[in-house]
Amino acid sequence: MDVEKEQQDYTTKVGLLREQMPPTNILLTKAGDLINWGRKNSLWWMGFGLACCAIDTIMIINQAKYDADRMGVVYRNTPRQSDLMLVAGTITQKMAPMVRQLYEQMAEPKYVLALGACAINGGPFYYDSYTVVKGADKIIPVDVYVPGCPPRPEATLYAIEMLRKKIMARGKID
Amino acid sequence: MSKLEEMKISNHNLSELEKDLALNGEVESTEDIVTEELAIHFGPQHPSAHGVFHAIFHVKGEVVTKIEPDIGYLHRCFEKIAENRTYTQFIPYTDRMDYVASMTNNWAYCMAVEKLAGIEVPERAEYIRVIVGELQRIASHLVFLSTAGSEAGALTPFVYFFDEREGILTLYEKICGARLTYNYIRIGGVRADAPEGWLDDTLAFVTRLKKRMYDYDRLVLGNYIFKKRFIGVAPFSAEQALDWGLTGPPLRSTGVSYDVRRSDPYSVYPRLEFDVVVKYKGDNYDRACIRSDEIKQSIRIIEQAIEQIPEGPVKADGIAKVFKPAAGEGYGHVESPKGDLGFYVVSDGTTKPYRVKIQGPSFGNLQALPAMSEGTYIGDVVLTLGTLDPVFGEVDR
Amino acid sequence: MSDENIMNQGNSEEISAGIKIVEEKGIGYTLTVEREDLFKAASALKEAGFDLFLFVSGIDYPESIKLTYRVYSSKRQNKLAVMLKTEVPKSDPTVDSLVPLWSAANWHERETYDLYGVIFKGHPDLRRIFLPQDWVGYPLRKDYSDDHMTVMDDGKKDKDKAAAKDKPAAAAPKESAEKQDAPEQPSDIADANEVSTNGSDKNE
Repeated sequence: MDVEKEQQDYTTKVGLLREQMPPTNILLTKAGDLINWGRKNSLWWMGFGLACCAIDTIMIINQAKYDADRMGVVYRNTPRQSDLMLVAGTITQKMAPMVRQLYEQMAEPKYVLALGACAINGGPFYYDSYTVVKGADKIIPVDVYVPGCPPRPEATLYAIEMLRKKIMARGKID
Repeated sequence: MSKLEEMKISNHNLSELEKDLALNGEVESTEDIVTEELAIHFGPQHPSAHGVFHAIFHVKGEVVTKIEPDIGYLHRCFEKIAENRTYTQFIPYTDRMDYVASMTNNWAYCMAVEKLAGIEVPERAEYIRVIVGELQRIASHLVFLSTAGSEAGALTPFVYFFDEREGILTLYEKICGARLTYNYIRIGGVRADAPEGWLDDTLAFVTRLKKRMYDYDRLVLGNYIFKKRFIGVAPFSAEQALDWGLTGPPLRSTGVSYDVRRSDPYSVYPRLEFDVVVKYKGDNYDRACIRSDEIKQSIRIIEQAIEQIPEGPVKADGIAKVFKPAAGEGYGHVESPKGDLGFYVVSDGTTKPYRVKIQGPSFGNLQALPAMSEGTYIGDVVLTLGTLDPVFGEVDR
Repeated sequence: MSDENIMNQGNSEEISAGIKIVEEKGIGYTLTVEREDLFKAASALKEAGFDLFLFVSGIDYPESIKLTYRVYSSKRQNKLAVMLKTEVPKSDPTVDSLVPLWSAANWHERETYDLYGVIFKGHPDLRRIFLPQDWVGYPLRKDYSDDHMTVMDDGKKDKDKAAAKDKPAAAAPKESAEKQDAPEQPSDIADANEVSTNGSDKNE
């Protein structure tokens, strides 16, 4: 198939590029991979229940049936110790400055998951609502969007998996 | 008079609780300890706040002297949206109000519209409503018991109770396809009949839960530390509770037997046998125990309902998706797990409600937090807030 | 209120001298008073044993705002609840606060002030409760609008009126928004479709 061929071409190209790189760069790339590997396996998330989604995503994923701990996704209570922010629910205009402040309190590198329709664009509260902010990305950068109202816990776990892939895809230390 | 002297004098006036702070022999009295009043911000992001709740605690040492609650961080304009949707379109929104007990929200709203439009609900639908409503009460109280435990430092119950709750969510998935926001109870009945074998599954679930409740009671309510933390903290009298407009378990814990299922009977509750659980001390421990006992009563109700449920249609005939009720008013309320949940719907004869007022029990209950916990230790305020069991989707609406 | 409703008004009960509650279809016992008499009527209810304050609701009409209070009696034998109704003109939306009678009225009245702009005289702490203190306007009034709010195009505009004459407002924009949001949740998408499709006008 064409796709496979393209992928093969891409791999060969990357391989050629790597050969052309000076040794120091290879070392850096490998170090970056190592660090990213560490980052992806210790995503500590901040417990931050805004609305409905909090019950079915953030309270559930660390429970027995779903057990996000096995992916190194552990619950922390404070933004200072967290890498991952789960925006679970509707953001109102009154809450928006606090969300922004909490995001800024997190240490780099930091990632954001927008859980549910409300965090994507305001969801069911898009129309006729005078206080709801139409999406988390209006105030903070979002890495992965999870659709659903609310998303199933499996969807949240899948999103975390996507985020881990995204972290590994980052080449260098940044 | 200097500020220091003021402090000393005001220290004389502190409650008995403050005197308990004096350790035997080591400190004779607290008079010499000068404490300054501090204002501590609680929330809006706080893991124990049950959502987005902001309050300023004024503390003197460990004792809370004043609480200034600040709500509205989740004000999503339900009442404005209701005026711009048809009667049927608003049902999914009610799911998102008290999101720990969505089913009872559907029920209260549909009941208000049914009263407004004069719709009769078929008997089988009423029984299914009772079964799913009582399952919802169990699920909500399980969440309460797990969070109450975790706020007191016990994280194990969390795992057990959420596992039990998963069982209820599985039953809900079978009957309506959703885990949290059901949109199952409709105007004039329910969306669809229970699938084959669902009633048996439900019966099997409640029978298993009935056996386990004994262990769960010992795990949380019988726990020595839990008792130490909860008994006698933040007591409320019946007069205070009525004055502050409490409803639901917090009101019944003070000895007032106000349960909508009995006081203003709806659906088929008059045919079912159950007790309204009432406690008399009104402290945190009573407020916690009452939920555990209500789970047992709900199990009783479900067992009877499954036994009595007749065959027949599950939805009233001839209800259009978009309909125009005659101009008038309707008020429907149910006993939700949080308290007396009511919807007041005003129609002007068009396809959309002219006004929908939501009477959220969490809003009324949360209001009493300052009166309840002023004078207690700061560590107990979170427990008191927990026993009121507010859900902020419903407080802020 | 239609004629049928008036005919349905059946039972009535005299709570105390001069105060008579009437049963109304759909909402139970009602007591309608002028706004000057509100506090007096509420005091009479309180004395008659109505000790639990449940809510106060505003309803916005072009000229006035109607207020509906609900109080419940835990002491009376037949355990009834009463809707207490009054009306304030929009030009002067003031009414007596009921906080002296029931502490519970505190937040409920603040809510009505916040969303309707009704001023409760004698309220100890009349501030906005949900919205930020610097908010302009009273959002639950029908004429409220702000730049942030996206109003669903529901056929209210004149040009659409002719088209929407027979059929009620179509909810096409909502449908598209919800579909966009929930592609991975089969159960909810069924709901969304069902709710927003109103062509057939029949349920199932």
